[in-house]
This record gives sequence, C-alpha cells and structure tokens, in this order.
Amino acid sequence: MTGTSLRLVVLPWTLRLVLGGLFAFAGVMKLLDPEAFAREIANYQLVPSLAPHLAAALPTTECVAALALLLPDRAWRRAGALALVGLTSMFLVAVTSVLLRGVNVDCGCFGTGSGSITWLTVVRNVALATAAGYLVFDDGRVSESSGARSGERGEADEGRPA
Amino acid sequence: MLPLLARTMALVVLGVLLGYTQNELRADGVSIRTYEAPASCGGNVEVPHPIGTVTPSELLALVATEASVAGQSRSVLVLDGRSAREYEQGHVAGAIHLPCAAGSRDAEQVTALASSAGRVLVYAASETDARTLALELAHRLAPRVTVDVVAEGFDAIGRTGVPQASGPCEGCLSGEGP
Repeated sequence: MTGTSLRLVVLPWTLRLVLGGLFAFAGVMKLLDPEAFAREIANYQLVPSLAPHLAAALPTTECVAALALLLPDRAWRRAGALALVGLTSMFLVAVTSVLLRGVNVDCGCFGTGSGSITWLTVVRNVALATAAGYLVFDDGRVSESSGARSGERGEADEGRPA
Repeated sequence: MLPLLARTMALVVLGVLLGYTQNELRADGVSIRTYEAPASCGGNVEVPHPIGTVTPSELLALVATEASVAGQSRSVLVLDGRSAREYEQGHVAGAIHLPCAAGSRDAEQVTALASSAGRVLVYAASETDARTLALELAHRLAPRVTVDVVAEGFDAIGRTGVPQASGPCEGCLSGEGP
C-alpha cells in the first residue's frame, strides 16, 4: 500500500471508526442515566437551566453524528464529521471555562464517573475536533482521483440526491 | 458548502428530536418542565433547615472530644472551605478540605462521610464563606445531617488554641484536592 493510499483510504476510515465508536459509546453511556447527566451539566455552572434539554438531546445527537460517519455516502459522512466538530467545540468551551474558573467538576464526557476535568480533557477535545475537522475537509478525496474504482461519491456529487 | 451545512443541520435536528422523543417515552427521563438545577455555592440556595452556628471555643471542645475517641467512628465531620493553599499552610487537625469550587464528586464523597458522622461543622476564611458552603451542604444533607458553621474565620479559630495541622490533605478527597 502506497503512502498516498494510506492517507486517502486507511487514515479516513480509521478516524471514522475511532470517532464513530467513541461518540456512539459516549452517547449510549449518557443515555443510561439522564438525570445524572443533567446534574453533571448543571454542575458546570454555565447555563444550568439548559441542563435538562441538553441531557435529553446531546446523547442522541452524538449517536446520530457518530453513525453518520459510517454511512456509505460521502456527503453525509462529512455532515456527521461537521456535527462532531460543532459538538467537540462546544465541549471544549465548556471544559476550558470550568478549568479557568477553578470549578472542580466531573467531566460527564462518558456519563457518570468519567473523572474530573483536567487540561488533558481539553487536549483530548482538541484532538477529537481536529480529527473530525480532517474528515470534513479531507475525507474521501480518493474518490476524486479514483471515484469509479472506489465506488465512493466525489466532491462533484455534493448536492445531488444520495 | 450549503448542502454540507444543510445536511449537518438535518443530522442535528434528527438527533435532537430523537433525544426529546426517547426522553418523553422513558420512565427515568429528565423532567424538562419541572427540572431544578442542583444548588451551587454561587447561587441563592433556599434550605428549609436552618444552619446553626458554633463559636470557636465550642469547636475547640468538640475537637478535643473527637480526639479522645480516635480510632472509633467520629460523630462530627469538620470541613475546611478555604483554598487548597490555605489548607496546606494550616488547618484544624482532622479537618477535610472541601473548597466551595468543589465538584459533584467531591461533594458526594463528603455526603457519604457526613451521613455516617451525623453532624458537619464548616469553617472557612470568614463566616460568610463558611455559610455559603454550609448552605450547599445542607441542601444535600439536611435533615439527615446537622450542618453548622463556625462563627468567625480561620484566624479567629486559630487564636482559641484549636489543634492545627499543616500539609496536604492526602487521601481526603479526589479531584483538585489540596
């Protein structure tokens, strides 16, 4: 396998599987105990009134975006990746704010018992956002050069019915 | 770019709708309309159980009594609500560090300790700070556990001759801890 195909095929699929698996797992773990997740969100002391809404909607949104990463259609995979960029950016703002304010709070990233927020949590979120960003802008470019061979839709297909 | 944004919005909307739907359908979902956020140290906490006050001299007597039953389960849990650095420089002997900024996990550990003790005494740099933390604790613990604050701040407590210790609170609590 050449270096080019490694970058164009193996890396995107590895990232999709890792990101998809991770966010699907995180979503399911949060779904197990919504009350506890709402409490974790409220403990961030950012917008406690939104905690029940976020506790209801965030886990399924994570799952939907994660599953979209594994769809055969490139356009929907990119949309899933962009949704994850949005989610991780939101998480990044929240955890950084908590650290800067010196609030010692559980992360709640994978449901209850996820451990306290540290700068490592920030680094992890930056890494996840970067990986998702890579999938938005670079995912499946192989199809542009060998779209017929790979069977994937290229950039030219964007906007057409899937 | 526009189709990409539209698809992304469609995924988010689908996720949100699924979320609200499953939350409505399940018995243990979050009650969105009646949800009450847990009290925080910065908020105005209404506690139906009053917070008592003990003087530094009374604290001295209590600490002496507790010291005499060392090795047995203690009936009073003393909490230090100051910063980690202040705690490390000096604190009431046997006190556990719980800053106001502590998160839910630390607070839950203290809740477990306090439940077995039956009474919690809170002191901080000032009585006002101690009362803020005590209100949060009372919200979680009352009426099972009595929560009192020590009148005046740590400096006044030190002048009464209450036994003190220094150094980090090793093994007290997880998280930021002192």
